[in-house]
Amino acid sequence: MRVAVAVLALGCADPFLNDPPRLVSVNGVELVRRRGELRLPARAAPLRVTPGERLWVTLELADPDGDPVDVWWPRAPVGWVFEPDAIEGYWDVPSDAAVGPLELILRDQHPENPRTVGYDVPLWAD
Amino acid sequence: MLPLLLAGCLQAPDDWLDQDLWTPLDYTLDRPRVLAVRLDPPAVVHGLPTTVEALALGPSAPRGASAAICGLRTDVRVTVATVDCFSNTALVAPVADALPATWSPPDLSGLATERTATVFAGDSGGAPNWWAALDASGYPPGVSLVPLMVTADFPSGPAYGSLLVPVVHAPFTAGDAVPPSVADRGRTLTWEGEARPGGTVTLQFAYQGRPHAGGFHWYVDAGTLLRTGRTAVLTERDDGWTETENVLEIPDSWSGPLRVVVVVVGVEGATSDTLVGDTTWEILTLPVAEP
Repeated sequence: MRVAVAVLALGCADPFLNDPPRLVSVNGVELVRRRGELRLPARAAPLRVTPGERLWVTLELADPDGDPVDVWWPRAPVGWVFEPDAIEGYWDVPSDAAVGPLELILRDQHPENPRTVGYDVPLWAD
Repeated sequence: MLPLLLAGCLQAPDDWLDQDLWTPLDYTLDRPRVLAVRLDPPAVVHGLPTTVEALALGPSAPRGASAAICGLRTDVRVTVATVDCFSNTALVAPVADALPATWSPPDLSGLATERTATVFAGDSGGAPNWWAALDASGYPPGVSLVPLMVTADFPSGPAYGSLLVPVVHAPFTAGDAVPPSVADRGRTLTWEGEARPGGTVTLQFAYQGRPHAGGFHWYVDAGTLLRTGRTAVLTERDDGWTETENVLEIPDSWSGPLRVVVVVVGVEGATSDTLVGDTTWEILTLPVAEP
C-alpha cells in the first residue's frame, strides 16, 4: 500500500523504472503537440540561420526522475559547438551552409536504465 | 539507401540483427557485433564473382563467419526486403561457410520480367508472419532483391549482420563494365592528442568519395565519442575526397590497445538499382599507455 501511494504521489514518474528526458523548448520557444508528436511551431522559427553568422542555441530540458541529461547532435555540421553536458551552444554558420533539420538525442544519466529520446530540430533560412 | 531500407522493415527476432547499429550512441564494441557487410565489386550478377566480406568485432575475435541469402527463386523474380525470410529454412541458400569468400549467383536470365503477385508466407502455422511480394515498386525488371545475412561465430555466441542484395538476372558478359572495386577507394584514419588513460584524442577520417545520407559510422572499444557514433561530411575536397572528424575521451581505467573503427557506405551504389552499396571501413588501434 505504501508503494502504491508513493507511485501516485510522484505522478508520471515511476520509482522502479526510469522515464525518458524531454525537450521543453528551443531558444525560448516551447514544443507543441501536433498530430501526436511534439514539434517546434514553424511560425515561431526559433533557429534562424544566416550564413556567415553565429547562431546561438539554448535548450530547456526536463527529466521526470531528476537525472542529469546529456545532449548529443549526431551528424552535426562543421562549426557546430555544443558540449554534451551543456544546454547552450552555437553554430558558426558557413557561408555555403545547407539548411536542413538537425538531429538531437537526449539521454539521461540514470545509473541502471538510461533512457534515450530523439528529435528533429528544424532550421529556418533567413 | 539499403541500410535505410533495412532499418525501416526489420521484424526479425532481436538477436538476428544488431539493431543498435542504427543508434548513434551505441558505438561501443562491448559485445560481438557485425558492423558491416561488403560485396566487392559491389554487384551481384552471374558470371562476375564478387567477394563477400564482413567486419565482425567484439571483445574477443570471431572463430569464423558464414553467409547465406534467402528467398531467391530461379523461376520468378522476387523482392524479399526483410530478414524474417530466414525463419523459413527452406528458402535459405548458403553463400559461403567461411568469409571472405567469392560468390556468383545462379543464372537468372530466363526469368520473366512481367509483373506477378506471388506471396511467400511465413511458417507461423497459418497466418503469414512475413511476406515477400514480387515486383516491389522502385525496382526495375531484371533484378531480384534478397537479403544476405552474415553469421559471425564468437565464443560467447553468434552475431548477425545483413545487406539487401539486388541480384541482376542477366548474366555478366565480356563487354560489360565491371563496377569499380570498393577496396581501391582511398581512406585514411589518423589521430592526434593524448592517447593515455583519461586523455582526449582527435580522430580524422578522409575518404575517396561521399558517404550516404547516414554519414560515417564510428565504433570504439571504450570511451566517449563527443560527436557521437555518426558524423557528417565536414570538408569536401576539390579532389573528390571527403573528410570528417570525431573526438574520443579515453576512460581513466583504460590502458592498452584501443580500437577505433569507421564504416562508410558510399552513395554510388545507392544511385543504381543494380549495385550494392559500396561499404568500406578502416580500423585504427590507439596505443593507450600511462604517460
